[in-house]
Amino acid sequence: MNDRDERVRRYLRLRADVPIPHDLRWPSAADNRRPLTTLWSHVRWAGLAAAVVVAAVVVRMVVVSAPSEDGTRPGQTSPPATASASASSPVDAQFPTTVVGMPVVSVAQAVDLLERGDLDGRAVAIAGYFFESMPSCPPPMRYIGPLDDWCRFVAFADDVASATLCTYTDNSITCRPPSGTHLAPFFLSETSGALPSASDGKPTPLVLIGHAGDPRQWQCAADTQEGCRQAFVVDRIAWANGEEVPLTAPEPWDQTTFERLVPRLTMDQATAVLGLGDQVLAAAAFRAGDIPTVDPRWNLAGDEIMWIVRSIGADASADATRSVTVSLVDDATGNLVDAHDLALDAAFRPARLWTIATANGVECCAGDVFPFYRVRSEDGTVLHDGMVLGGAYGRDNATTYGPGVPLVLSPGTYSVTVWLASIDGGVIGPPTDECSTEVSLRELDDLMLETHFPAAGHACAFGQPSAPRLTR
Amino acid sequence: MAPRQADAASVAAIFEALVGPWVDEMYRAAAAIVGEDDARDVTQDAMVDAWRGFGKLRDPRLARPWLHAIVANRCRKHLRAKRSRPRLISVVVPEGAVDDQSAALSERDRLDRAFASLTVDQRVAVVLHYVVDLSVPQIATALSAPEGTVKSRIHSGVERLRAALESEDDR
Repeated sequence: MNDRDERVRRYLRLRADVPIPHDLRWPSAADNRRPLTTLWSHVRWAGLAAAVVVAAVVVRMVVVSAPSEDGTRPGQTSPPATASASASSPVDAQFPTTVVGMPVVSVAQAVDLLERGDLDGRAVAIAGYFFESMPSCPPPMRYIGPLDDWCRFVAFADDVASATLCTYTDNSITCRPPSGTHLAPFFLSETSGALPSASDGKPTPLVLIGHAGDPRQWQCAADTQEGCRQAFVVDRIAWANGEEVPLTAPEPWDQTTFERLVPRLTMDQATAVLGLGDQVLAAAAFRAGDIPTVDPRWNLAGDEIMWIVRSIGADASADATRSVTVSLVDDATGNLVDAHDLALDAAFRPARLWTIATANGVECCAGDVFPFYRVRSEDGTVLHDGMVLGGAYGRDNATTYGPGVPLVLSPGTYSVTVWLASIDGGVIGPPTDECSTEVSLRELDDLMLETHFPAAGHACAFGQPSAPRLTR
Repeated sequence: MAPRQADAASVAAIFEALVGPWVDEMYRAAAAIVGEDDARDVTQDAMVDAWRGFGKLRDPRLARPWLHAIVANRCRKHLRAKRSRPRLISVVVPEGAVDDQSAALSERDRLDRAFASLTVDQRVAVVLHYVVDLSVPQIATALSAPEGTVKSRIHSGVERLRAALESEDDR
């Protein structure tokens, strides 16, 4: 940790270093909206059945209140747009007609393309009005993938009214889910450009370049993958509030430690390898081990810095969409390591490997001991080396970790090693209680590998890989 | 069916037993997010929210992240409705040599300004991670947000604070 990080942490703790008032009032029945004990009589911790009922009610409430919560449609239209409606929706005159050499289309036209599958792995430039609001939601009680449209009100629409989701008064805000023809864009860690801050709930005019059919759909659960496939992922914010937005590389950072990464190359140097004529949509540097969070087809491990660059070829055609190439550039050498189409190959039929670990004797959820795992291919290449992600739950004497984002792997046999380690002050301790196994995966396998740590000082053991349990 | 008085008393006792250990921490988190002036109101409202929503707490071991999620929601409502910003400390730096105390105040001022420029969600994520010491998965569970989103909020929030120090150091 450097001096500035320490000063930031000291400042944050100083903000919280305040005297505690002694006159905070304990709530009482007078604060009830309805008789608390009536509600309480239906929900007891010891009553599993009651808890299940409440969970079902909560989930039902979310389905009703949150946008696109069915997991199969991440929010493009409601009701669905029709081709005729799309074709007749012009782009508002205030927007540019082209960006990065691409024609700019309306949201309705883009929705039409998306529903036909024409945006799968292909970029399109879209003009519209954008607004987002994060509603309060109960715990989802299920795995939420990176492109699952969970708990957010996001609208990118052709007109201001359709994108206006919140009404502000002097002392209150009222928000509603989006309706009508709209997209619900995802701005992810590789997206170029920053969203301008919205003022007083007014939608922002934007031109976004993005795509659907993102490979991270494979990091969603099988039953929400189709919805994730339709998610509109933004490569670049190209224009905002009347101004062109230049291509910028997001600030690179380590997704485990939050430390800033310092690439050797500039963005221009990293993209120079692509050659003349290519138009860069996004370029971002990552720790190699974090690359699968952008493109899970590249399973990398390690701390070296790599650049992911998305680009389109020079193309003067009037076609609204462009094929996209994704390139991996080594920051140390400036060399192109690998490249492939953003669009998934029809032959890409990977397996998902989920990981979950239960540690007996570890009190939940103190947060000082964590399971880690490493996956090697048959030739010994390390494909993953990191923590079992996905949260923790359990009891006084046992903690279960995961499942988090699955590994997306080609069919084959893999060596998996799991261990426990402490994390103290950001420093990972030595591995303990380690065990290893081999896992054979076939096309489209969807398997969870469960590890049990019986007690401190005893090696762990694996259960038989089984269908993933993604709800709690 | 009318609730029995004994049930109400039991619920109140359980509520106090579960929430009591975390009230100070809730208050400090609120102070860090919205500022000390408004922390009392936010915490009090959060306690009432917790009381009203107590039946939704399925597992008492999740009380801590659950309470912080409630505080976060209250902070979000408070900041957005009031459009409030943390009070800024005005510092007059004397001509010539800058002593240690004024330098520290200047740094605090810059960090206050940078913190005030964070979105509510960035503030919440940064405070829950660095002040309350919740892990990313715990925050993700508490806020019902994907871990990647939480990481991104923490990173971008801290990055803005670091940038404030960089500009200070470069002076």
